[in-house]
Amino acid sequence: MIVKLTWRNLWRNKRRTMITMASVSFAVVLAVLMQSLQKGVFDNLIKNVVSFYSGYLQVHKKGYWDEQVIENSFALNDTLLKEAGYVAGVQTVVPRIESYALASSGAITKGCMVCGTDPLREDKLTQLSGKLIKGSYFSTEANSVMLGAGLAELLGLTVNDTLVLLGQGFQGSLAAGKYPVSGILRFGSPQLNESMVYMPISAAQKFLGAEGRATSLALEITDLGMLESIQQEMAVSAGPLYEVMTWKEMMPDIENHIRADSAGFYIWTGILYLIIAFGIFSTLLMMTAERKYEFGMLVAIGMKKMRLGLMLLAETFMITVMGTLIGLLLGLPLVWYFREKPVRFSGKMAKAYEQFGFEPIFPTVLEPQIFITQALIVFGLAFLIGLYPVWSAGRIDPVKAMKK
Amino acid sequence: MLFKIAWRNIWRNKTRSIVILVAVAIGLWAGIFLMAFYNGMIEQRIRSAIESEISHIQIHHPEFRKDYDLRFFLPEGQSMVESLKKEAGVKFAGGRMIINGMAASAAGSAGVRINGVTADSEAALTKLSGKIVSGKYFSGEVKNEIIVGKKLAKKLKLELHSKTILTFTDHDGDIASGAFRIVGIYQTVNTPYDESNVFIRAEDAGILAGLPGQFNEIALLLEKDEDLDRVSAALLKKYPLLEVNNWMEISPEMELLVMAMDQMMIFYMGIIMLALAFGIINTMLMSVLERTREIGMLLSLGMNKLRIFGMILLETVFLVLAGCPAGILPAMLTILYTRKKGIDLSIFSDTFSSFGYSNVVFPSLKPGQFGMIMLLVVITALISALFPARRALSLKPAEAIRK
Amino acid sequence: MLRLRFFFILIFFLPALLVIAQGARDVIKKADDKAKGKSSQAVMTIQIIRPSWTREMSLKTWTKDNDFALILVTAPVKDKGIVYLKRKKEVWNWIPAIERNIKLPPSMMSQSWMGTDFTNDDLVKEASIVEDYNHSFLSDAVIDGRDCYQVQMIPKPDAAVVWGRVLLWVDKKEFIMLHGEYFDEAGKLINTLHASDVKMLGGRMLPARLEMVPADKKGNKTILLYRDLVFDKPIADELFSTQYMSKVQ
Repeated sequence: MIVKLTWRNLWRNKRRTMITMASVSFAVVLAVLMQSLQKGVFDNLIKNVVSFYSGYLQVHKKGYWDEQVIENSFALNDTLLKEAGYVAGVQTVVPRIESYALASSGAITKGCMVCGTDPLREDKLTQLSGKLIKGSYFSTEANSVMLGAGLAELLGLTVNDTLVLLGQGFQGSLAAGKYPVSGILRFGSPQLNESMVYMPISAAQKFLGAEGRATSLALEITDLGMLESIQQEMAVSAGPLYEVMTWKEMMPDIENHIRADSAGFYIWTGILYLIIAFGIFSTLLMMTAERKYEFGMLVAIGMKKMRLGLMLLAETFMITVMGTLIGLLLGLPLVWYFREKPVRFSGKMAKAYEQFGFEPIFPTVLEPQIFITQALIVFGLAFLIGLYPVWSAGRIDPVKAMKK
Repeated sequence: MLFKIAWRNIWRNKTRSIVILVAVAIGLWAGIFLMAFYNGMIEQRIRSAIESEISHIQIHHPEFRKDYDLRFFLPEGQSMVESLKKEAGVKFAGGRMIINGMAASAAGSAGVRINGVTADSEAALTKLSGKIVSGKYFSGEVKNEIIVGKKLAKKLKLELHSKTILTFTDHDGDIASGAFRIVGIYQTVNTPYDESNVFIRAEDAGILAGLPGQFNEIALLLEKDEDLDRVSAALLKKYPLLEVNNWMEISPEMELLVMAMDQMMIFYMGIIMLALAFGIINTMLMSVLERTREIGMLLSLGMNKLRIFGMILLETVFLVLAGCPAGILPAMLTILYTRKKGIDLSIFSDTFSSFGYSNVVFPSLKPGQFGMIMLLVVITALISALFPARRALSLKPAEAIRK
Repeated sequence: MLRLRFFFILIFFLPALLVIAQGARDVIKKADDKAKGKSSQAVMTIQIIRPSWTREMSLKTWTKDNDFALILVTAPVKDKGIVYLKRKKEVWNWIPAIERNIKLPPSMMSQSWMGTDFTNDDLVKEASIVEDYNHSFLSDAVIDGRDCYQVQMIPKPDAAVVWGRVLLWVDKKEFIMLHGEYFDEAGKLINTLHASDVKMLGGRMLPARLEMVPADKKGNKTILLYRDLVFDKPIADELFSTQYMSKVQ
């Protein structure tokens, strides 16, 4: 009965109801948009950082991370690779063999990091081919290498020159080899730029005297939220001889930077809620003021104040619920749109980003959790504010109210 | 005449007026405070980088930074530092001898950057003495003092008074090595930095490198950030053959960070303004709705639509103008208060504090930004008021009266 | 009568006195000189033993004074022809597989030499056990049935050595270093060197087998076996040049 009454009340004054509902809806849309944007930007930042080199997760022989020497490599077998690929959420598995070595050209020698990897898979993980500025991308058949531009410049090498590599091989052997340079890569990070040498994994294994071995498997995943669960599953699947690490464990400084940044955003969000709350409040305030006469009338003709309060409560509830739902419905396509076509910025800022290898975009994420949380928060907020009319109705003096 | 009506209208409906006023005030307060807060955050990052790592300006031999080859040192480094100290706008200046080499202990070895520094200048330039967590700063009591990062000490199993052997290629291309004693262990926010940077006296570095008394890097800290361009230009003129870089060129990551934060701020301000706009639109709509009867009356009395529009607009303008001081005042007070005390972010992120990173943000506002925000809020408020005002015009007088 | 008695006692005790007068430093120097000679040529085998694998290499070496050394790898086939040249403080490496001669930078110096428990640095730094330490005697000991001096070596403050303390046991009769223990500054044992199989090598009594065992890596050791040794045969300076490295046999 109350429902019917409430419903009719609401639609009696369409405009008023619509306006009030709209304030709630907008609140939901904005809150959802803000949070989705925030998370989207952070997730994108993480994505950019992990695709620099590390990938989201890595699998190594246990103890490798603390002592990154070729002795701590593991035998690369197909089962391990396959199993890694089967873990839900893992998109690409890149086997790598990595070692510190000496790069030499003519009289100049410089320390470098040799990364033997699978060209196609590596490209999926780190978009390596996109960093090529000269020459051509390496391939599995060739025995050629690609250098970071900084390293190439230091050694005075360019495409088709020969690079000499020297280092500590597996089981004490001496690693030495000559390789033609097929391409030069430019990395955003100066460290990578000045030290990376990429080779096809088989050539690197031969160089290091470590045929059939790898130092790490780098993983790309589809859903950042699944990071820890994938880590656990991989650890179980690989067994106790291996360690599975997330990017957070491999790069704790970056993780802390990101967390530090997000602390500031809590304040932003708080202020947004404040403004939203105020928006809803002001609407309700106006509404109450406008209906003073109506309330006064009702009380004058005998409606118990309590009843009036309840009725208003029901109205508030309905408006809030509907407003929230509409807000969600509106927010959905909006967030989806900004995920597919994120805001791209240009100019100096974009150039700086791209120089670092970051995409100059502000994407959003489409996550039901955000929608639900924000909806609940706004709903709660709106409902609390909606108690004001109820309260004011309770204090109404019919005579005064009708004096208009 | 219109003014008078508008003015009286405001007072007639106090509730509505107060609501709009407060909306504008809150919008202003929020906008100003947020901007100041963000400024504070950015400034804190920059400040921390400049004052404890890169300084404002660095000078090198043009070939030096390519490979840190010891051959490319700064001729007359000592006298340069002396004259730079007296340069207008320069607060501190210090010379360094930077060498890339290896540090070894019985437990192992690691590649390090050996920073040969001038003890007192360095303390002023990068607050090195303040970063020490164990032991003490250079004091000249022991020969060949060295200060290492905590991470490196752990890696090489070094403690206070331990010995570490530094090896590198000297000025003539020969291998030089020396034994150094740990007098202090430092720690910064940046663990990779701690792992690869060790500090010795420039004098000791120079002797070992075969370049006694020389520097290959000079760092300057300025009195004011704003002097950066001016001083850089002056130095470029004075030393045309040398490389003079400001902190943004030395550390492009910092520049990126600053730009990124600026961009984000604009975006979020936009969203906040949007929220404000909706709030005001809703309120005004409601108000117009409430005044249907009144407006209808006016229309039927012959007041033309344009004037009604103007009236509503004026009311809004008054309210907005009144709202301004109401918003600015609390905003200024908040900023002044938090500026002194700072906002401690550690309640949000406890990992922050484990780094010694300053968790405290000191909001501050640049004069230009202040005006910009005011303009933004006022324009938002006015535009938001326009929409309902137009609606008012579409009311039909006959219907309106009957309401 | 008293004078004669006194004279006899002096004669008996004189050698003993002479021995005591010999400083710890001299003991070390004698042992060092004996093992090195002014120049030497050797054929040796190195065995690298690890928990999961072992490797064996054959080498030919030439040394002159303390400044020059040339090492040629003769086996296994993969490494045959690799040459290390030490000239004063420089170390060069010739690798036939890539036909390049590379001067080792400091960053490589602390890397293991050819996979052994010795570092590249050890090749360069050898000469300093006499100069860079302060020597003193500790109590004598018997090693493998031989009477030995125990010499404690503490690095001089300025010496560029990582050790905090080194103990060497030197055979009293033949002045051979039979045992060595290397400690870090905290007093922890890091490396142990043991020499055995003493026989005539190049006209001197020297150990033909040297074993280096790192203390913290279980199951690791490096063994040097001297097959042939010739001392003080004149070696031309040209042998110790970068140009010659590719031609060494």
